[in-house]
Amino acid sequence: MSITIVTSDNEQFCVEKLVAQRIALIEDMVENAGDRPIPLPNVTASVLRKILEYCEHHKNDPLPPYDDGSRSRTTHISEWDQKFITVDQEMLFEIILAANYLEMKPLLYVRLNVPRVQCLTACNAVAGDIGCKTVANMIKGKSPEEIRKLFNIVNNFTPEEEAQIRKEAEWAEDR
Amino acid sequence: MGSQELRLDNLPESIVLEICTYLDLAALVALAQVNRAMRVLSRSTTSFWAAALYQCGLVIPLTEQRPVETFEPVELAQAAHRMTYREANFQSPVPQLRGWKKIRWPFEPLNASVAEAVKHNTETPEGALYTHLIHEYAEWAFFISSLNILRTVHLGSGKLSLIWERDKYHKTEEGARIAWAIDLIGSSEGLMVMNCILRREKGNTYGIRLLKFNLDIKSGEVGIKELGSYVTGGSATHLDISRRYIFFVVALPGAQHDNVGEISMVRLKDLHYLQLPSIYPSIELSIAEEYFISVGISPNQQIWVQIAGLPSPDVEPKDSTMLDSLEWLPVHSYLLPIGGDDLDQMTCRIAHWYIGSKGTVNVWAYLPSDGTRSTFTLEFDIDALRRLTKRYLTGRYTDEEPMRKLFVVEKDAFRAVEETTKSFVVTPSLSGKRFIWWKRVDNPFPNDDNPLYIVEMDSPVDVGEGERETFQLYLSMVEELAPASQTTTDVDEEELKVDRSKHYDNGSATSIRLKTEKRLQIPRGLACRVPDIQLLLIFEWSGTVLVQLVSGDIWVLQYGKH
Repeated sequence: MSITIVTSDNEQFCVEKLVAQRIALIEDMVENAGDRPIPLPNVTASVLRKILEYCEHHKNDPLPPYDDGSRSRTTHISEWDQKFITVDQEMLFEIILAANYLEMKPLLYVRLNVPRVQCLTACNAVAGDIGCKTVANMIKGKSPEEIRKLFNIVNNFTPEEEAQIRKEAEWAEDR
Repeated sequence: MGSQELRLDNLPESIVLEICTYLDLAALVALAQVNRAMRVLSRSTTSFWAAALYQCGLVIPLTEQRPVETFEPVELAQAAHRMTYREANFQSPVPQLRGWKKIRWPFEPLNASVAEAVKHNTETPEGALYTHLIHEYAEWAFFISSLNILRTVHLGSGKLSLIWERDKYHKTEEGARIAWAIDLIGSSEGLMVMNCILRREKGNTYGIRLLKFNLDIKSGEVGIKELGSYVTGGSATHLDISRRYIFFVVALPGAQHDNVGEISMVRLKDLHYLQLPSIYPSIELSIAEEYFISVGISPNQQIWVQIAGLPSPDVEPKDSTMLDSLEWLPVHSYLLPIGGDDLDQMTCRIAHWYIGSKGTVNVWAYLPSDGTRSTFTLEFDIDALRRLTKRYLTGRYTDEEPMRKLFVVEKDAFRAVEETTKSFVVTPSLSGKRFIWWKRVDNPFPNDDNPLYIVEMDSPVDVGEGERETFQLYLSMVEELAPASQTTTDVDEEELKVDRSKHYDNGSATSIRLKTEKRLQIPRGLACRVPDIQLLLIFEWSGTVLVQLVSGDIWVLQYGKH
């Protein structure tokens, strides 16, 4: 059995219900939608294609452990996931945002204090995490200027703010 | 998802904070300086820093030991910056000396009253500096003499700021031990408990004295006030104090181990004795605000780490008498895989920095026959312990509930192999993650290594005829050592020591240990004029190393922010 999902750019995806239901937001919508297509106005076709590729690959993974915030956070990414997430920066952020919108992150449930993550499969849980880990790996070991350059961020500090930051650094370093 | 260009700095705040949970402190410090939005987030949101601080496992330079999330984000930002600076230096190939001070013995009195006290308390440096405690911020040093006289040294000025002789022992008093503990609150206050002999009309008896300090960081003045005393029934072997409780251990008569005894507990506000549940006789003890940890020996000669949560003042007990006797406290016991015929000579240290949530406890154990210092790491779920203690206190706990495991013990994860030289004495840091030691050398001075490792002093000293380099200082990270299993396989059981005159194969535990050593930069006056030392300590909070010489002189070496 399959369901139809319509993306923000009006592309229709026919998705196996079992796979689609692993996305928390869609799981909620399927019950009310009946046979009607499910609209995802915040996700483009190219991003949904990636998300579904991820879900398909991980559909048989065991449940991730419940994240009560105490587990140690490593930035290790498996080989397949690494290949999957090797995309341009725009797509990387799109995937992270989509995973957030589709409630594909365990942290959302932790924050809401609802242990719903127990009902989800690994593919729901970690798609957003992999994106965040990837961004974290890109930041690590870089100076503020290197981070700005990498992510095209404008340095909008005023000279006074720059002076204050320098002063704080001197305080911390006591030189 | 929208027409706006997607960038790191315009992602939803929740996502940026999620990314932050995967970053280390150095990366967070850099990220906070990228632009205004990141800076505002870093200075307004505790969770920007919290995950990295919880996971670093190191001593966090915050003003006191309490849960990370109770500090303001700005305070966390400052602590993170300090830590980054300190760690970058300690992890560099040659940690640079950022500052140093030499405090000469006899210490110069801060004022006339201290000078007067010095006159009638003449002790040798060995006697006067018999035991020590240095403020983790490295602003104060506390020494108790072999006659139970307290001396406080303000490390900033290098001056002796207090001599407290209220509980001075007479030389003839046998069995009276020197034991004491301090709970410092920031830089300006502290509670102290120390052994004493309570002199009463009916006769003298062993006890403990409770004192309160006020410390003035600018002037170096120390105010001290006596809060009370308590009869202990024996001279305590070790003590600890928190803001709510005092723990002391009195040696068992005829016990095999001189420093093993029964733990007793007293409530600080009214010095009321509190009955504890059954706990093994303790070798070492550590109290935090919410729990205490004891390393003890069971009757069948096994070594156990035991922990019990302490009742929170914010929780109403189901029965008010529960706070007058803590026999009901659940005790969690974890066996350490240590054995040997010389357990009576075992010494250990509990290395733990309270952060109010998950953390690690590192137990350093040393058995002379083993020749190694073993570290046992216990991953610790404080939240679960807190919840469990609360359930007991409020009567919501039922016997049917499974007792959740609060620790994961990594068995004898690493061992620091000793050396054949007598000067190899390992000093672990408070986090238990690194240790320092020194090496006696006899090298010509100057030599090719000197410019890298030896800093000329501000006032150049003439190179004396035949001056030699005699002292080197080293640092190692525990996690870089070979696993304990490899250590025991590689090292001949008859000689569990590193002999530098021998060759060790690459990849062996001994060669790995030798490779982990990192030589610290030190001043020339220490490198060339020190034949022997009395004491070596490292304070991670401020990145300070303190070297006390046999002469009583103290070198304060700064590798982080002071």
